[in-house]
Order: sequence, then C-alpha cells, then structure tokens
Amino acid sequence: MKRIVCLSILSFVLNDLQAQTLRRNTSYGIQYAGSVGFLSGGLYKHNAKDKLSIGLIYGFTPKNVGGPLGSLSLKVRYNPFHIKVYRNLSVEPLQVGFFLAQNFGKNIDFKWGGNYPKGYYWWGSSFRQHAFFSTQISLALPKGYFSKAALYLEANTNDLYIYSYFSNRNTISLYDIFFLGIGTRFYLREKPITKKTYHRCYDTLD
Amino acid sequence: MPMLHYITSPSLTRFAVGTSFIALAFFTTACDKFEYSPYQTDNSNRPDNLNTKNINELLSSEMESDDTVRFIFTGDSQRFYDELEDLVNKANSLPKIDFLVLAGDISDFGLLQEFIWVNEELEQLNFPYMAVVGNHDLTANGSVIYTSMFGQKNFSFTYKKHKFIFHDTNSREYNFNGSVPNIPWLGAQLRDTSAKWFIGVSHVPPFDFDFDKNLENAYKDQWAADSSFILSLHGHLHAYGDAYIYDDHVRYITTKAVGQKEFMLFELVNGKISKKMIAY
Repeated sequence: MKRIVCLSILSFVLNDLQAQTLRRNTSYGIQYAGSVGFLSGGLYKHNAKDKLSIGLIYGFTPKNVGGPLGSLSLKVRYNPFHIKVYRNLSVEPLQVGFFLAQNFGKNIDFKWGGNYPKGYYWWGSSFRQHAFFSTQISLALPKGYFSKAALYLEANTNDLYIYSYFSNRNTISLYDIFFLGIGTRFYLREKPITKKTYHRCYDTLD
Repeated sequence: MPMLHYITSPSLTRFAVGTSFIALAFFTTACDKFEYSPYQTDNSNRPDNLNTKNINELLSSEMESDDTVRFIFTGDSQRFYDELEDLVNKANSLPKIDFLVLAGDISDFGLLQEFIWVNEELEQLNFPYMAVVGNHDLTANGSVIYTSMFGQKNFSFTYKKHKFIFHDTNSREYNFNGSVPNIPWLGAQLRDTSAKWFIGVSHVPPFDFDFDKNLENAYKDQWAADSSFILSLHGHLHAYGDAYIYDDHVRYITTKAVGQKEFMLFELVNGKISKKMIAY
C-alpha cells in the first residue's frame, strides 16, 4: 500500500514538473482482482488514441483473502475498436494483451533455492506470463483533471494454467483457466504549462 | 422531454467510481471467477480439512461384520486431470472399496487452482480419499494450501485394527533440516495399542535421494523394530515397485503416477496383504 501511495505521489510530482511532456498520453488505473492482486494500481502510457498502451502495475493481496502477496507487472494492451455510442459515452468492445508478473510472498521464492539440483523444477518459481482479453466502456470528461474515465472487465490466464489445459482437453476447459478482474482507467488531460504549475514545481522542490 | 446535456466532469467521475464500486461489491459476493493471484492460498471454492472429514466418513461406515480393508493406492495426480477422471470412473465400478490413498504430489506447481481441480475429480468417488503431502505440493504457497485444505501433514487413523500413518518425507523441501520425517512422532504412532497392524504412507521413499540421508537408518530401523509394521507405501518415483528393500520384514511398495493409468487395489485381512494391479 505504501508503495502505491509513494508511486502515485512521485508520478504526480513528476507530472507537475514536466507538465506537457509527461502528462501526454498517460493514465492511471485501479483494478480489483485479475490475478495481480486483490487491489492493484498502475501507471500507463499509450499512443494517441489509446490503441496501444504499456503499464507498470503494483498489486497486493492481504492475508485475509489468501495473501499476503505482492506483484509487479508490465502490461501491454492492444485496443483496436472505439465505438462512440452516445455523446461522451464510448464502447471499446475488445482489448487483448499480455502481462508479465513478478510475484512476491513469504513462500514465493524469487529463484529456486540451493537445496535443489539444477533443473529439479522446470517452471519459474515466481515469474508468470499472462494473456488476457477485456472489454470496456469509457466516458469523455469535458473538464477537470481527467479527460476520460473507463471501466473494464478483463479475463486472463497464465503459462501454468495454459500448460495444464493442453494436456487435459477432456477435463479442463478454457472457462476453467480464465479468471476475472475489473478495473478503471483515468486518462490525464493534457494541459499547457502555466505560471501556477511553475510555482507548484518550486514549492515541491523546497 | 428535455435531453440530458453533457454531464459535468465531477459527477461523471463520481458515476464511474460509483459504478465500479457497486460492480465490485456485487462480483466479490456473487462470483468465484475473480482471482487475486495464482499464488493465493484461499478462495470461496476451497474446501477445508478434507482428510479429517474423509476419515470421519470412513470411520462412521466401519462394520464389525467385515474385517477386510479394501483400498485403492495411487499417487502423483499432478496435472493428470483427464487420467484422474478415468481413474475415478474405474474405481467407482469396483465393488466394496473402503477408501482411496493418494501418495502425494496432488498438485504440480503448488497452486490453489490445481488442488481444487484434483479434488473436483476425487470428490466424485463413491468412497472417501486421503492424500499425503508431496514435494510438489510444498512449492510456492502449497504448504499453506495443503494444511488448510487437507489438514496436518502428519496424521493417522485406525480402520479395522489397521493403523495408517500418513507423514511428510519430503526432506529436500526443508533443505534436509533433520526434522522431516519426524522420527519421534512416527515412533509415538507405533505405540498405539488400539491397532494391531501398522501401515506407513508417505511420498518420498526412504531409499530416494530426496529423503534425508541422515534419517534413513533411523526411519527404516524404527519400522523394522516393530513386527506389526507390515507395509510402507510411497509415490514420487512414478514407477511401480514392490520389494523388501532393507534386510527386514517391511515391504516397500511404490505406485505409478495417475498419468500412467494403473493403480493398485489392496486387501488387508488381519495383517495379511494381497494386491492387484488395475489398469484404467
């Protein structure tokens, strides 16, 4: 939790410092579940129409819901369709992508320990590769700090589940190996550098 | 009717946040498909204390009139869900089976979802099953998951005067710290006067290189010193084996993995062992 707060504060400060360059094509995300944590927060950069985005996400799972666990992931998302439904409401029916997650936890060893001969366990002890697809609705916001807010539902699976699926075509279905997450993305509004921004910048440096 | 005009941003943000929280609250209670982490130790689908519950079910069905213990012995169900389904179907077609023993490596990667998938197959059995912990079950959060879902790693029960001693022999997972297997605990189990015969069930056999070499002698000597200890059952090797390994009266039997599509059917009558290989 501390890490999320620190990261957020840091990114906000940075945004003030280099308002125009850093704020462009940036969004923040908060997600529930989705295999990277009970709750996770991320900072994303994307191209002009958010067709392609890349994000850094930190997630945590508290003890009472199956943790304590943490994860840091890099997420790449392709979002090809933007359908304007009504005024400021859009539907983006399908996104696909992948995320690479480094998991942390008391029993999640970064690497296999020295008690094992080389190659004793063949799979990575804490690094998982996930594939996902999602669907989202978004609202363009006429004014304020954010220019757009989006709500998405995402289904993902990981390398070990896929591996389990392929050798068990009778008992394990695609439905069995995909798991859900739901999240929001808030897209920053681009702003020209103003006098006020410079003052805030100096205040921060003091 | 007046058209709803462009909604202002604060209310829109509130709407987006509000909607997501309502959706979140709904899904957290209504849906078990939301995964927090592949490594999570708990979810709404996870059963608890299966070994204890299954032992209670077995003991409550115990009949004085029948002194034969009939059980199926298999092991290493790890990532063999299709074959496990076939095993369950075959096992259910056999008459008068009391229970099934799974010799560890329930899961392959120590993940909660794997334990759940395996149990979803094995709970289709017409009789209870008990599973001992394997080395794969102790990777990642597997140890916590096994303990919550199945129970203690060392446990025992007595059925028709035969005491089955399930125990953890996955010494390598504890970096050969000298406490696994727990020799004093095993000794205490043998001092039980309510049982006439004793059977050991564990994953790694004592003659394997994953078993603590410093404990091998103490382990096999303790079994050998007790003439009522008749059988030591193991998995791990994914190979069938049946031999008197050491120069004593104890018979060591290892099972094939679930994926190799053959299990053993044991009949114990007053300490006499008969077994049959059954393909599925």
